[in-house]
Amino acid sequence: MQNKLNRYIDKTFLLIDDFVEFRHSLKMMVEAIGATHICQASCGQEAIALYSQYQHDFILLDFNLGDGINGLQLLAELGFKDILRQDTIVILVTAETSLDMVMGAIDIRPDEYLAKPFTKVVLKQRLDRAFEKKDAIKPVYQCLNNKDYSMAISWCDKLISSSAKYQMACHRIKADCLLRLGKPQQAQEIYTTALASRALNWALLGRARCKVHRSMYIEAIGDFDKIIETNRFALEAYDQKAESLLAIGEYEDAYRILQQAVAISPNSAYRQRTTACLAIRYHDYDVAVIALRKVISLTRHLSQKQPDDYLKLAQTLSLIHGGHMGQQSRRAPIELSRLLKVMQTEFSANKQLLIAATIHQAIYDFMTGHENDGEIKIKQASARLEDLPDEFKPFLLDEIIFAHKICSERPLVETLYQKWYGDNASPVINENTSKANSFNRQGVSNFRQKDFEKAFLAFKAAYLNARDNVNITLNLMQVMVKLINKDAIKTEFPELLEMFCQTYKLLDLSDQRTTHFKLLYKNIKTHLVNKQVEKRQVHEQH
Amino acid sequence: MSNINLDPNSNSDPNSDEQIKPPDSPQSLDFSSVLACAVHDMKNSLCMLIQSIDTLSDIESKNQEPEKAAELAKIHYEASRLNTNLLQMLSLYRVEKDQLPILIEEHYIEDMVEELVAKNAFYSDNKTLTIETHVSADLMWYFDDNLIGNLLNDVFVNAMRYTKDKITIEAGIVDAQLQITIRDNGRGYPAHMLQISDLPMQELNLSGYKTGLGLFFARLIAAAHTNKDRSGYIKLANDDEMGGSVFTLVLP
Repeated sequence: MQNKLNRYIDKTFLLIDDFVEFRHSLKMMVEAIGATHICQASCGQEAIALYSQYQHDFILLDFNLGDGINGLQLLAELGFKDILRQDTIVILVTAETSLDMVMGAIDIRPDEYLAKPFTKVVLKQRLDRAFEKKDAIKPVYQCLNNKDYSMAISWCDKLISSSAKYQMACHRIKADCLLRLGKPQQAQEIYTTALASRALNWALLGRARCKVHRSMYIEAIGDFDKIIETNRFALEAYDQKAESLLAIGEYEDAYRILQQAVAISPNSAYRQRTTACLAIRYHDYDVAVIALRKVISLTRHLSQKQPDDYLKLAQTLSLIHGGHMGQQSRRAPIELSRLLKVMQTEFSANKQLLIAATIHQAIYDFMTGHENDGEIKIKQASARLEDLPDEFKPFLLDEIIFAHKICSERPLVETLYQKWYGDNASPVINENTSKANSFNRQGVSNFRQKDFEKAFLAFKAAYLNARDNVNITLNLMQVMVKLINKDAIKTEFPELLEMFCQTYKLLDLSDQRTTHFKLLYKNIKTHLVNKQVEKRQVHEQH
Repeated sequence: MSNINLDPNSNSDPNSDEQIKPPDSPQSLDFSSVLACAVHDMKNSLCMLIQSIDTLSDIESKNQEPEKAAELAKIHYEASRLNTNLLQMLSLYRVEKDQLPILIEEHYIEDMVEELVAKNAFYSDNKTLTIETHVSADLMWYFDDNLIGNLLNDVFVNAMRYTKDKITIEAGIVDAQLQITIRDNGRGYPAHMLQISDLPMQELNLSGYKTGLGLFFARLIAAAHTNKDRSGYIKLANDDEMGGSVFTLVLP
């Protein structure tokens, strides 16, 4: 029988601190309160490996983990890898609470912040507190572990009506689940009720998020402004405000707000990536380079590492070199050559990236006056493109377009471009947000009338006018699911699916739409694969 | 999460990416940053020190040597006071740099009070003080538990020092606001402290009074907790019956 005295005896603990003395002292404390299964890690990588294997019941981690990633980034990585158990209790140990610590995304927040120094009595109290809370709403966490959000919602309802103590926590989880299931209207009602008594930060942000999900951008921007006015550090509000601004075509305003957010906290790959895209748009190549360098250093050891970032940085460095930016232009080739080498070692198994890197190396050779070397590399790249069995990844096409843009006078580059881009040319993309929003509205009304064919055409048109708009992408995916269920599969589905992957990269992990996106994507993909198998079987039978 | 500002008219740079780090060159020596950096290091040492004292006292408690235990309790007490002071200093530094985050969330008062008492049990047991708490189990409110925890700890530590033998902690809702009261049966607050507790923030002269920092910190943190058009505050008084000091924190 478990009681307060021996409740930790069969629980597993993971202690993470780079400082051996602290780790040792923490271990003694945890042992003193009855724990027997204790793992220790001195850095993020070690911790990830241990947690992946054992998925401990408790994680006690220091915010500061030395030179690698910090405690919150570690949590985010576990979340990103989709291995963080919802019922694992996470205690973040800190020297004191500073900005960086509380600025993590809301859903990867630790259960408790524990300020050093603390005694084992205090540690036990915090552990008890977190344990009792998680234990009281255990069924909800089990559903969340299984990604059964509808079931989690019904458990929340049950617990809300039966116990007073964790009501608010249940409401909060319920609203989150509703957003993950793509039901922002219902989620918004919960946030609004919570806001009746006081301006709670999580509810304010939640409500504004619902408005973004519902494509009510102008209203959402108003809400974000209110949040930022009272909480200068509410970075999620900056990020989401920028997204809303982008959705209505206010690129300059979005760029400005993101730069403010980056100045408050540069430690978000998502934020830096969006900033870099906008900086390139406005030819602020120096800003873009700084942002991309940061993205790469933030994601280098994590699964969020993307080849696109490396290529974008290479392209930006080439633009700087070609521009007249004095010292910076002169220094760019050194960094570029180093970067191309890094790409070859870090992505040695990624054929498409290696080809893109070779094309870029050719650009570098042309830039530095090594015409022959450049031509040889373009020929090599062309030969390897011929051998490639798969469809081109967007970054590879992007690199071909880039090469053509800055070296179009070279016949080899021109041939490469005509040959490969001509065939792969995606549906024409005209970025026009007001058109996109108007098509989107039309699609929504068609969807409501259950005219899915028309809705598909409208949402597709909206999407091609604003590929970065997550809500439009979700709408398009939703209508695709409807069509698939009616066996009306369009030829462009696979290509659209590939394009969605690019949009997906724009999503922040903490955004509930990430879940919704994944669910829809998986649904479409599975259906398409099944249909292909069916087709093949029919074909073989004949 | 929100930020507080000592002076609402200050022109601090909203984009500053301020972190505690030593300046690059002697020319750019910013003494407050140097101090903050040093405080940060001191806190780490203190952390190890307090944990060692804790371990030692565990060992000592088996030996049953009251003299040693009393000395250890004193060391523990002073180390905790040092820690509180450093914490307040760091927080005030952050406030000045417009970098102090306030994370207002729902918390159970009983949890916080239990922790407060447990944290100081080593000293209060040794001084054989009676600690009474009157907090209902389902009382919850909205505040930054770290900052309010530090604030109350400072008050409690002072009460332990000046009380005769008893401290009571009460909490409840009065006029739709949370009210936490810590009282003792010592000799009460000196007259000058009662006076300055009524002064407006701007007129508080830190250098004039020994106990100014804690009080200043408490008022600042209380005031940073706002809801709709009300903001938090503290009250100092002397108890007519018990004779000791009465500290009250009110949070909207």
